[in-house]
Amino acid sequence: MFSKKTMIVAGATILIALNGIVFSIDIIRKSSVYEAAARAAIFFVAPVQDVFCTTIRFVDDLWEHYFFLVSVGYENDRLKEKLELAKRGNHQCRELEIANKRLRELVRLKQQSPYEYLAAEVIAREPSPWYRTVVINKGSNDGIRPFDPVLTAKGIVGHVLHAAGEHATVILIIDRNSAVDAMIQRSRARGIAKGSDNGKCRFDYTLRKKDVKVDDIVMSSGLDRIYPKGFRIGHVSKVIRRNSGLFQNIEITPFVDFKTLEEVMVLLNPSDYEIAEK
Amino acid sequence: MRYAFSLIFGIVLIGFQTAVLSKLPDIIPFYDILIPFVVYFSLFRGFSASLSVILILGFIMDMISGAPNGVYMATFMLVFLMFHNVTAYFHAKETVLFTICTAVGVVIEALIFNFLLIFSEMTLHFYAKAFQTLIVQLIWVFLTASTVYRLLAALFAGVDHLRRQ
Repeated sequence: MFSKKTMIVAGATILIALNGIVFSIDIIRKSSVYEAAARAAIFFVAPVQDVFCTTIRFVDDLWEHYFFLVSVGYENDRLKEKLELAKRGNHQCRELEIANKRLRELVRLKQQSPYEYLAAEVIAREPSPWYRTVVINKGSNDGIRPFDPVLTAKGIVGHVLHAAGEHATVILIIDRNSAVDAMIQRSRARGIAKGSDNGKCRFDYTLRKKDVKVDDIVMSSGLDRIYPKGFRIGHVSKVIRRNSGLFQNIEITPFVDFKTLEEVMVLLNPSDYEIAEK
Repeated sequence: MRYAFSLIFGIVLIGFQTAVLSKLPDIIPFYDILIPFVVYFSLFRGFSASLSVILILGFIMDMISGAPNGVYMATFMLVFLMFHNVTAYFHAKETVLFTICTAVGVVIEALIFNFLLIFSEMTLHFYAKAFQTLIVQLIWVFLTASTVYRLLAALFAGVDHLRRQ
């Protein structure tokens, strides 16, 4: 009755229209079918990401060792070998020291805080340059649930978006879709810390009359029911107060360096602590 | 077998893109490596099996990405359908055609993503950064597309040869 071409065009149009409807219906993100589909997708992709991550680390180590070994001369073979071994050991010690320092900071955070944390490693990042998410190597089998806050000793990283069995996707606070209810520590001026396109955050909806200065610390207010109160987000790096308009333009530089993010801590069961505080 | 291989290869590409290419500095962003994969299927492979592979890979990308639900699936499908019959109208060497179609596919993807961002935020303040990212991605396309084409052609020729045996 209809030609193949017409069927194809009609099918494609219907599918694109359906996708458009799905974009605008936000509620579907909260449905169990969507969550199950997200867990299934992470289940298939995350092991591949793990493999690539491990391979990169192996190749990196191999390159470091080969580089040092290649430069061994003919006459001073023994001494140069000893020297190279010492250099390698020193390099490994430095790497261990850096990792130790990072992990100590995480442990100090764990010890100083009444919350229950779970340490995880970042194994992959967002495929597109327009959004900011990472994949960590812990999931629902370890007690992680969607909307669990994720932090480091330096500050808030983001919150869990989807949690599969062994892996989870975390949306970073520098993502455009992320919003943290926050306040200035010094003046208690309230606002929303939203992700921006330059790897920093904007502090929106802060009234012009509120006292905000450069280098002020921004922390979570706890009112968004995701991040508990008092967690550091960043410091104010720019304040622009125009003559017109209700709000100030404030830029926040996060404390966390997202480019070198390797280990994170997931705060488990944050709602239990809110109930306990009440 | 071809269908399963295509799916598995697509998942490996997704893992490579998120675990390896994402480590590149932000100032030299790489293009979405699934776009040349979609373009290859659109230009040189059969329609029905290719479409289902593309849709499944788009669905997986939607689930692991922070982008709005369905955007990858819609983008891949649009790129796939756009170039499906292009060889009837444009006659060129395969590598040239593949490179140009990949470049157009990357532009389409960037336009769709940026349109969504503009629509959701109602602001144009990131316009310059988006343009800069797109230019760098197009440079990567012109530098790497012919190599990607030869790799994909050799890979799927091997699979076809195994299947015939």
